[in-house]
Amino acid sequence: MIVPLALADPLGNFTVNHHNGLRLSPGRVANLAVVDAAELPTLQEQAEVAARGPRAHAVRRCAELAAAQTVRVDGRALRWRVGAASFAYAPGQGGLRTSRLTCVLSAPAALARPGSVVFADAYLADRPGWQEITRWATGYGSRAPPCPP
Amino acid sequence: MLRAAFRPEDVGLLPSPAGELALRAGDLDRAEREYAAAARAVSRHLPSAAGRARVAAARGDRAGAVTRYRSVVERLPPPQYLVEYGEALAASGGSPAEAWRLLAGARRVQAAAGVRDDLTWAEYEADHGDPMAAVRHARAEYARHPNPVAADALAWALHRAGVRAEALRFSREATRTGWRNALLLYHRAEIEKAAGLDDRASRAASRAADPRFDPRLPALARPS
Repeated sequence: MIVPLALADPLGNFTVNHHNGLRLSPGRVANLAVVDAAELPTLQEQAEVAARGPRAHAVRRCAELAAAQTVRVDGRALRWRVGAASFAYAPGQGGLRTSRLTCVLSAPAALARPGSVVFADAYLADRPGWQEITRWATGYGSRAPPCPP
Repeated sequence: MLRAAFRPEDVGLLPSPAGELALRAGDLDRAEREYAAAARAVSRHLPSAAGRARVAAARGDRAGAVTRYRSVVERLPPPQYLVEYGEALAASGGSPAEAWRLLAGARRVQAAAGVRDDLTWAEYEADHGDPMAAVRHARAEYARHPNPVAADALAWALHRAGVRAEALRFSREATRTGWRNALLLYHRAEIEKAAGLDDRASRAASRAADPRFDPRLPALARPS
């Protein structure tokens, strides 16, 4: 057996996958951050979740996630405020479970005029998995750009 | 090899096999250098992090090996890394239970995904689990791939299960090519000893093949 083959086949079962849904509006930036952990990373974290309870676990992980993300508007770093935080299991392969962490983050920002928004997510970045970032804008008139360039 | 590599990923790709070759050849300083070069070239390069854990284990640095393996499996826990981690834990006087628990999970998802890896489970069950299960896996592996590695796995499983005559037959088959592999030769010596035979030649050959070979870290010595 060779390692790359062993990893390549069901690699999906070993991944931690990230979605960040950024929403820009004239007065703030919000982010719906979702971290999907496959069977093995879920199993690795299981004892900690059980010891802490899923609610407290979600609050703690979302605080870590917020601290690991960078969001800058016109070069100025914003600090995420963590709103709702949740953690839930779902049935996975082989009788194991997968898990999902959901964090609602927001920060006030001066985005009424065109400006630059820079976003980076370093949360659990050293674990294999995909990274998805979407952005949309609300609260702008039809002549304003849909989101800052 | 490095001079032909340009992009960071290329630099990262090359020294890892180069480190692997140096490790297999017993040149641990060189292996460490090659893995360090790969780690510098590609940040978060997992194969070289695993390679450095292996170098620590091969050096007999038990605490260092445990720390390094732990940081590797926290990022990615495939069976091979988990077996090496569990054996490093046990060799350092700790409990391998956490590694075996994760390994059982990895085994279940692999099975559910249709992956057949009888060799890994034959070796794991023989060393750390149920010898009869090891024999079943080893027979299945040997039936598909009757090569020296499978013959050794079957010999060792049979030895653990107490089936001495057949263990000896397959161990001889595994080692008759003249391949100087410390683990296979150590297995043969143990099997000969259990059969009441003279094991000195096999034992000496095992030591000659790798003076650092540690029977508590069989996964580290595996050629696969």
